[in-house]
Amino acid sequence: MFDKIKGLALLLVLSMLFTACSAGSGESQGNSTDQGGTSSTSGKKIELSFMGWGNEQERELYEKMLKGFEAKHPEYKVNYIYVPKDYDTKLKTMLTGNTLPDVFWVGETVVPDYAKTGKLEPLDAIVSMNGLDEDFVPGLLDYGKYDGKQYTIPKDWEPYVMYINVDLFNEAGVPVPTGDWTMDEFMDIAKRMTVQEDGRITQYGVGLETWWGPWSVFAGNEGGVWFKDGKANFNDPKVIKGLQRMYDLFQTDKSAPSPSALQQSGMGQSQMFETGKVAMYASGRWMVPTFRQTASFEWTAVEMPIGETRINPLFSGTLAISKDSKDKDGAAKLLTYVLSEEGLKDIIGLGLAMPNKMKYMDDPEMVNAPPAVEPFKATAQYLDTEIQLAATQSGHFSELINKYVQPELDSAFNGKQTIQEAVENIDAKANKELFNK
Amino acid sequence: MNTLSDLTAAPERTRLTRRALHKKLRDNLVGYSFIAPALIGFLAFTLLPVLAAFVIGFLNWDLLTAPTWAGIKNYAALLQDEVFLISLRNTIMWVVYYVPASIAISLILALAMNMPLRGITAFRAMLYIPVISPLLAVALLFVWLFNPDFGLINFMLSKIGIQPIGWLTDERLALPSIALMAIWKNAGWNMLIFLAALQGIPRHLYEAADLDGATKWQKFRNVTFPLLAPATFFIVIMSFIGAFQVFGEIYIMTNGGPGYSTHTLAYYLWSNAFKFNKMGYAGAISMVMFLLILLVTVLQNRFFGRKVQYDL
Repeated sequence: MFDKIKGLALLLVLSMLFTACSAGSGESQGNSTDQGGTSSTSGKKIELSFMGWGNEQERELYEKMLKGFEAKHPEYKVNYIYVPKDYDTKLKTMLTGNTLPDVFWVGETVVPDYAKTGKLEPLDAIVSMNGLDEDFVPGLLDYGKYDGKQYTIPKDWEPYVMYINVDLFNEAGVPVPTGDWTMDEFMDIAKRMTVQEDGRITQYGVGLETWWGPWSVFAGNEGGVWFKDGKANFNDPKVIKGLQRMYDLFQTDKSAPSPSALQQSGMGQSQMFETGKVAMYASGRWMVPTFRQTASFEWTAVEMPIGETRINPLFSGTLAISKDSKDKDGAAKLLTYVLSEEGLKDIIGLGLAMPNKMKYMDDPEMVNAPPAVEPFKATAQYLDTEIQLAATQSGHFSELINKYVQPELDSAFNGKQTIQEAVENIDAKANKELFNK
Repeated sequence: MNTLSDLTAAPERTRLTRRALHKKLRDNLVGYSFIAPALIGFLAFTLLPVLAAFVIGFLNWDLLTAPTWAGIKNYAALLQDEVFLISLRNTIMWVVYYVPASIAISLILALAMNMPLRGITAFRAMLYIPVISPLLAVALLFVWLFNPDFGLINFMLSKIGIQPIGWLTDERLALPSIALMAIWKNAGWNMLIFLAALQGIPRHLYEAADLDGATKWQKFRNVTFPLLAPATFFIVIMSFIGAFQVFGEIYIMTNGGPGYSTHTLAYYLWSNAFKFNKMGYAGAISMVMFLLILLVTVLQNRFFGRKVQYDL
């Protein structure tokens, strides 16, 4: 009896060991088996893996899109690996463990980091063979390049615009701005739309986030080049002019609610817009599906106000193929399908993003209202193709932004130091520790 | 005769010892097989990563390309790194804000919850709810409570004429504000341990104290508090260890900001490892954290460890 128990215990331990060992390879190695590229209608299907990031809504969109691929290519079965949070951490871990999916999403600012590892398949041949680069939005494709080769292909991009609560503007008798409004006009409107009651502000003119997207608009629209010759270049009169406008909105005019770190990540401010506590809200195309559901008032979007010039940061999801993919032919088919008209319609039709090709801009199944589509389309003409690109190609984008820029600007926007002090600190520290080679 | 008996006895003895050895081996194997799941788990998921982190601390490794040897370069760089030193200071400040207040409040709650009242278990359960609530939910709730413009706390304060306070936006207040939330969230956990210890104190000691005419305070000072010492010691050690590793609260509520005001060692470690691709540097930070916690724990053991033994 006792021996039996002992035997059982041993068996249990051994089986636990085996399951523990096999779990590691099972989940991520969703690659094809040794069937090669031939299809077999009766037998097993060739498995491909696809990994992407997004919210719950996007997960459903991608599942639908991948079903479309399987319907068109019945010899394949796609394992969709959905990552709701900390996507980059997961991707890095998979890359280190040599368990990359066949096709996966790479953020636009980290393409060089991954490309230089040699684990991404150069896509130049696939691009020219399938005409994937035709009619691309100007500058967009460059964000997938490293060292002259195309390593990833942007599937979409997201303009940064100003959302407007039309009802609040009408109540206040302030005309809703048009796309040609200037920065000075914007600052003035933000002040006029700020409402005080009994010495307390009950409604702010504009909800403004403080992460790199928004400040790169303010700096860039004044013609500021915050990254130049491989170095941080924040101490530049034009960059300072743009950042000073943000400082004034927060501290001098108090027409924007005080920034907190949470608002960097976009939380908080969007709810303030939804509840009518801010009259304007600067954010990206990704808010459209949410506002369509939650806004109980008339709203619209206009381009960000114009300064000396106009520039829009580039936010995009780009797609890559693993160099270790066991079925590169299948991976190429999957990639091509995602970027095709039918694939894109499934993933951006809801209004989260803009298509990567100019010819799709007028297709209501890709780009649709509300809000009016013109401001979003117009942004395609002035995407940042230099400053942000140079910063990402340095390979230190994340560290520059998170360790040096954000804390200094935070302190400034919170009124703890001047913009001048912040930009001097950023340049001094980042160029000493990060870009001194 | 002698030689013969020796010869015949010898194999007998060998057989015996072999059987005994065999049995001992078998018993050991069975024992090991029982602890194997925990042991293998510890080796694979705790000890090995710790050793790996130690080695990684001496490497240049961006996680994506092959590592190169760095020697003590990472450690030397730490001493020059302003953000690291700020993180170290903030971590120590966090311990100062969090640990004493957390323990004192837990003790007071435990004393209150030890009173023989009707429905006291309902109160105990209520106080324990924050502990089992997900940190994410609690932290996001507090972010809204702390909101400077529309948060509930500032709204209440405005009713009694207090100007809006930037709980999470003011660099001096952000860290204590988060500590406030952590104290609220974790109070129930330590309370439970105190409560168990309180109920383990024999009644006759209180009766004896009553006979001697002790006041309530004297009973607490001379009976309750000394007999709680083992529990207190445990809570102090665990609270220190936990506090030095604070991360989740910061990650969710402030992302280390505003400025560097809520950068802690664990947050800066994570930033280096997974945002800046500096695994080696992160490894070095983890070793500093390890040594710091080890030092504090050894010191506590030295000074308080011997004073907490009581024979009843």
